[in-house]
Amino acid sequence: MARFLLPLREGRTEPGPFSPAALFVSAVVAAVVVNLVTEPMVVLSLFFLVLIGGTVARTRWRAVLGLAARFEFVVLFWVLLEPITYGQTVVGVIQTPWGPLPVYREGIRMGILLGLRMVTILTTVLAALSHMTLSDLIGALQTIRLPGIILGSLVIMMRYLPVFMEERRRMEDALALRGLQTGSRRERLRALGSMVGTTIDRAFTRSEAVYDAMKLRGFSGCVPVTAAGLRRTDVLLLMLLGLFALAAFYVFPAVVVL
Amino acid sequence: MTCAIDIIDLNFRYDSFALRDITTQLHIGEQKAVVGLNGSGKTTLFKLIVGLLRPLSGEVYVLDRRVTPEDLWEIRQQVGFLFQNPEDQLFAPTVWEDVAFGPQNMGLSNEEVEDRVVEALSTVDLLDLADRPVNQLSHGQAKRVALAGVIAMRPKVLLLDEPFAGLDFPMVEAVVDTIERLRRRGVSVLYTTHSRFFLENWADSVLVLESGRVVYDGPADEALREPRVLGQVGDWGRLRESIHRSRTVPLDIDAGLGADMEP
Ligand SMILES: Nc1ncnc2c1ncn2[C@@H]1O[C@H](COP(=O)(O)OP(=O)(O)O)[C@@H](O)[C@H]1O
Ligand SMILES: [Mg+2]
Repeated sequence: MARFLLPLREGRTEPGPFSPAALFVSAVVAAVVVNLVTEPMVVLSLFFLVLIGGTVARTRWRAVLGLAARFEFVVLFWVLLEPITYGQTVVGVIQTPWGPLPVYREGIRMGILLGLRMVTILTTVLAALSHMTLSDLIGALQTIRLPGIILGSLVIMMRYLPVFMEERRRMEDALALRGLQTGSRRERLRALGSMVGTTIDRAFTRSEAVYDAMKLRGFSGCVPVTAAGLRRTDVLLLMLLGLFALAAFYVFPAVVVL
Repeated sequence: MTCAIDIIDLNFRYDSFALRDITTQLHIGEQKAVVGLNGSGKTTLFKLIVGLLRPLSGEVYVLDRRVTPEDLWEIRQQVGFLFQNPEDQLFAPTVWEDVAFGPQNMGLSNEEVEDRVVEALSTVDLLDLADRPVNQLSHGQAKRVALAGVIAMRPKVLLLDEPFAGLDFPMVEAVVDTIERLRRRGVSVLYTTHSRFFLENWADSVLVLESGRVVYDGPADEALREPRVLGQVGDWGRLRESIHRSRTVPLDIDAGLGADMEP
């Protein structure tokens, strides 16, 4: 259900070699490492390292990259914004209706660096998430001591967004069956306008019902998932993470600079 | 004698009164049908029993324990509530996780949770759908998954809100069969229905509500001799006559409805 938000697995799955908590934390640490690297080529190398590592771990790249691609606008925004806002060395001028716009060399480099970092971080985190179910993720967040109230909200949000979307789809269908497409543009707008209000209202009512159902089975704002503890194999993950940092700070810089 | 459910002088209002002076009992092992027109307060009564709503006045006891805000979780582990609309009841990503939700909250070990889920899903004969996302179920399947979620908590009392509405015949059979199995283990059942068939064949006693008041509370066989009760479950003879009349009498009275169909 959460498919359109996060590439989480669904259903029961064989537990992987590492605990979800360790996997999640590793992804975050790897993201921090990537963020500290200042050389675009090194980030690119790290990106490929993630791709290789993920392939070895049989990551579902199609789901992960598909989701990462949805952030293209955010990434492109920064890649295109930096060259015209950051730096001193002018390498070119774009003529716009509002006057000339200088393009800076430092900005181009910065844009590329930021873009690469974002893509790498997104891919890393989403790939890690793709190896756990929603319950795993919640268990992991609980293991790292995220407050129950935040977890509770997360669970509810994950459940209510689909309720909301379902409700909207049903109403769109109902309107279409009663000729929404054929009406004039103004009627159509009016119908859509009232639909938004009704959708929110109905989704809210249904959410209340769903929340009742959760309460009846013991949901108290906190989450039932037994905080899945760490596993002995997580040490291996720590070592891999060390290698990742080593590559980021020593090996790749040395190779790339050569 | 201890009661599964004991309700004393219960009053409740939303904007206006929804239930007035309700007093009734469900004995242990008993199966009671709650009958009443739409809006007569059946669902509201169920919600009061499990503490989703708080009474304006009066008392509700479940297995001799008063329903109070402090004791809700204790009570909800004893009473399973099957919603009228199963889509409102399912919320986890998959069937398995949904059924496991209650047992997990009861603090059972992973093995125990797994046992209960397998047992509950086998009881409703849906073990093969365990990994299915809950939004990809048919209405009948969703209803049975919701029932499995209730059963997995091994309640001693079941509240079923129109358990058969919208189900085809094999599904009705399957649900009846499931509940009969639970009854043999001593589970007490309170359920709402609009069907005369179930009053005649599947109830020890009947509670009839009319605009939030009790108008009959007693044995099922006597209930069917009461005209007031028959009015609630449908006077099919009258409907049959009315259909027959409209099909044989020439078209002219329903001017409003059929007017623009005239040439
Ligand atoms: N959430 C609510 N807010 C206000 N009124 C409600 C609400 N739910 C039900 N009612 C009203 O309370 C009465 C009893 O409703 P309900 O218990 O759902 O009846 P039944 O289940 O017998 O059809 C109805 O008149 C209904 O309109
Ligand atoms: Mg109802």
